[in-house]
Amino acid sequence: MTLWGQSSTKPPTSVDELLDPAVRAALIGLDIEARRLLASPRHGERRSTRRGSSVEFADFRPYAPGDDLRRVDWNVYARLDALVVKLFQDEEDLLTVLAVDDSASMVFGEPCKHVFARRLAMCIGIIALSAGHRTSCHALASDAPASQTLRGRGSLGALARWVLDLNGLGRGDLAADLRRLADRIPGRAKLIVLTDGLQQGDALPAALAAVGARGHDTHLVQLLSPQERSPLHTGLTGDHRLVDAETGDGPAISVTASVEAAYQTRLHLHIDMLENACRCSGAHHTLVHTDASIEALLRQRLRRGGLLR
Amino acid sequence: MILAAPWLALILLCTLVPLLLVLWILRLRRARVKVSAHWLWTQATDDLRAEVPFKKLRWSVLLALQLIALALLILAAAQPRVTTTMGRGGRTVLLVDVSASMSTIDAHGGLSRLEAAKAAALQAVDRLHPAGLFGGGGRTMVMTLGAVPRIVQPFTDARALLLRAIDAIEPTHEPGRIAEAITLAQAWSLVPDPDAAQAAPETEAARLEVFSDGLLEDLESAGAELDEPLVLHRVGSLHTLNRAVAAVGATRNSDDPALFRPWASVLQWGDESITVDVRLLIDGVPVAVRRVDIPAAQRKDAARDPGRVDVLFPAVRHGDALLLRAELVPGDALEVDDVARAIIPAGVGANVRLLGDSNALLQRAVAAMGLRMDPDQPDLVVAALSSTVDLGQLPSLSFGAPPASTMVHAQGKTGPSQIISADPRHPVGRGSRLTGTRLHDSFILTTKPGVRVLAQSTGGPVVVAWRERGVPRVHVGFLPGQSSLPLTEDFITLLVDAQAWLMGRTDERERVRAGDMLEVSLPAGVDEVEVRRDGRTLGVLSPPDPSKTLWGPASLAGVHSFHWSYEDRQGVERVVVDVPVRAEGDVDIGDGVFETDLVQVQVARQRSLALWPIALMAALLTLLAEWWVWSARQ
Repeated sequence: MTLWGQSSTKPPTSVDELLDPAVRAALIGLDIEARRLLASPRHGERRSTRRGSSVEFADFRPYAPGDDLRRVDWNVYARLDALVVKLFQDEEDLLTVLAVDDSASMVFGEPCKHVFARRLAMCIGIIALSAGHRTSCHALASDAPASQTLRGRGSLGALARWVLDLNGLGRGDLAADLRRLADRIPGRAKLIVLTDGLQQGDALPAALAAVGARGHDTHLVQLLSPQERSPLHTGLTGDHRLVDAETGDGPAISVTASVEAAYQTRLHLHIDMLENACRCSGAHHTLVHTDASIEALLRQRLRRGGLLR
Repeated sequence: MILAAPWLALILLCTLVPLLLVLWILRLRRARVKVSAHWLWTQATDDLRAEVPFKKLRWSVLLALQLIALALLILAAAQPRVTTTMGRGGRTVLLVDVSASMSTIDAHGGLSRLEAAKAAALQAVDRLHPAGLFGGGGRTMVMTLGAVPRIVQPFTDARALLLRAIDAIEPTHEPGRIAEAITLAQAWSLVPDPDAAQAAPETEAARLEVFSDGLLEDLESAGAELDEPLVLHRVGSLHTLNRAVAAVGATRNSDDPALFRPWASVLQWGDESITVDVRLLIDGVPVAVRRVDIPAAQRKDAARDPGRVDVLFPAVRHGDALLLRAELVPGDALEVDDVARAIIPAGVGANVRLLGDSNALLQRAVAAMGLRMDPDQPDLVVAALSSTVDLGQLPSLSFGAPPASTMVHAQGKTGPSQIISADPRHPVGRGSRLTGTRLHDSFILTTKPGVRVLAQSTGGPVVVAWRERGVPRVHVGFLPGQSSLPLTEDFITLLVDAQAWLMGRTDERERVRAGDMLEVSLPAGVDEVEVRRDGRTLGVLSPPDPSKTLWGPASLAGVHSFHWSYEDRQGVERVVVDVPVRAEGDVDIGDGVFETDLVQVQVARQRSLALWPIALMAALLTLLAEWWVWSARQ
């Protein structure tokens, strides 16, 4: 018997379990949308929004798996026996940073928010790597290590291992981790945060403001499960002792229609607060229901929301 | 229902129920539910019920179950008792009637009365010894009622034994008698319980419950001897009418003794005359069917004389013994008495010494029977005497004055009279119908014990049979010429039957009814006899005295045969066992038969039964269910 709010499906242990073929097919032709100029110190395949001269050499950088072999400087290779790639002034190297909330509160709901976030992170990572963007992955509110900077399709395996290793046992501070992450990113990046955003107080809006101040093009994808949206209609009724997934604390409560209405009012206020914080910091906010189709999400909502193109 | 401790129940009710409700209002027991952000809930409502101790009580299955369990516990504490129909003192005797009338198929559901009685007895066992943890009760004995009582299960408290014993009860064709059964049951009920640790003599008679249609010969008289009324569980329909073949036989032609004229006597107990078909079979082969009208029964006070008609069949010539079978076609609700059987002995050759001065009729009859006159070496003496004569040590058939005897004497003569009754059971009088024979004059006979009266006239015994120092004798207290007997075929039949009995050559012994002992005389030296009924072996005997071999009592009607063999010799002695039609044939229970002070129909004594264990068990089960519901919600 599945208890209220508990997922009945076991966590994915392979890429095949994480993404089915239909979802993979939905990723074809998608790319990461960079809304504003990203002052990356490196250059890549993304065309800069700035006007520049035509093809003008700018710099070298070491070869990374997935780089176009046509850009390898074979003369340097002949002299130094090292593979380097030539960078040009009119191309910018887009750094996509995936920040996934790995806290225990994400392991909730049917479908589970944490699983949904991992699937979405895998999709966005595939899109970014397939488009040739440098990509790094970070876990928020958790001790899970960040990935190395990945590049090209050859890094899809590393991306999958990182995603699959997330366990949802974190009990850290989401806002503080987000703030630290924004500070660590060199230059400006496309920062995609996958979280439920359910952190009490103003810490998370403040962190979003700080991230915006660093110039990152931030996109907050807020995930909510059906149980969080409508507790009464999903079976939470009667007298209960609530237990917080992270702190273990909670009140004794009798769930009634009026109580649920008050809860939903509070939830919507919190969502509105996050949305306002994003707007004020120049970030995007997209509210996603975990019972929605991930293909439709990728193809429609995230494209309209400015995350993908 | 009686509460032994009502005040305790009231106190518990006033304390525990409010306590339970308070506990529910406080809601100390809650299911733990994991949420992603409890602070949203905390902020959401100012009406968090747990933070306010007393809130409105709301409906819950768990609360209902707890209240039920509590109510049951309080009920158990009140020690409730109910009155039941248990037997007094725990000793009950169940008497199941297995007489012939209980084979009538007129009970509810197409059952025979016996099957219905057994079902009622099984229900009584259920009542007296309920199954389950709190079953038990007293001790019960099971008996059957027939011609003799039989104990099929002595006193026991084992329900399974009682049920098995009742299931094993089989029907009989015996008459139903209860007096002896009551005496036996009372004797057994006063025997101390052998299983009890300290067995003390029982001082109180057991309760008697009878399962019967009530057609018991001695029901009223037996009930009068009891301290309390019999409890009778009556079975069967009230107004079932029966018809029966009372007897079958054959008379011999006076001129040709090998020519038989079969007859059957048919009865019915209805208030209107009916028409029935009677079929005759000889040695198993149907030979004739007669359609006859049977007159209505005649009511005499509470009793009822059945309507009777005699059926004559075409004459049959036969030299050997015959097995006659007369049956009604079709049968009725009581099939066992729709059939009667008889064995007609073959004529036997013998040397006869004829004595007396008025023997013209006898001379002609003896000649017609094919007997040889041999005054020097006679096997049999046939005499017509006007005064007492010593007939010696030979078997004798005498008419007129009795022979010299220590057992039968004549005390003068009487004027015109008529034979008013005859014993149809004895082989001598069975074949002939002596009743109604008119007598011009006859001797007044006085008899001593041991003399069997075969026919009685208005002046006293007129036909008698006895054995004197082992010599068989038959005496008819009138001369043939002084009666109407020679005018009928019954005269020669009487002579042939008497001659066969006197010579010890009858195939059939005295006719017996179901419930009687069977007695046959076998040759000396026979040490093993197989008893069969209708071809089925009933048992094997080793009689200590073959000349007086006893078996029985015979519970079922039919032809019983004793098969014996000794060295190179072997033989069969056959005995026909009849249904006691007169006693069992009137199966009409009638209205109000048992509405007497001596017999109560289905009235049971009440006994108190403690209910607290049941209430306690129910409370525990309810709590178990409550725990299961609560667990399922976690």
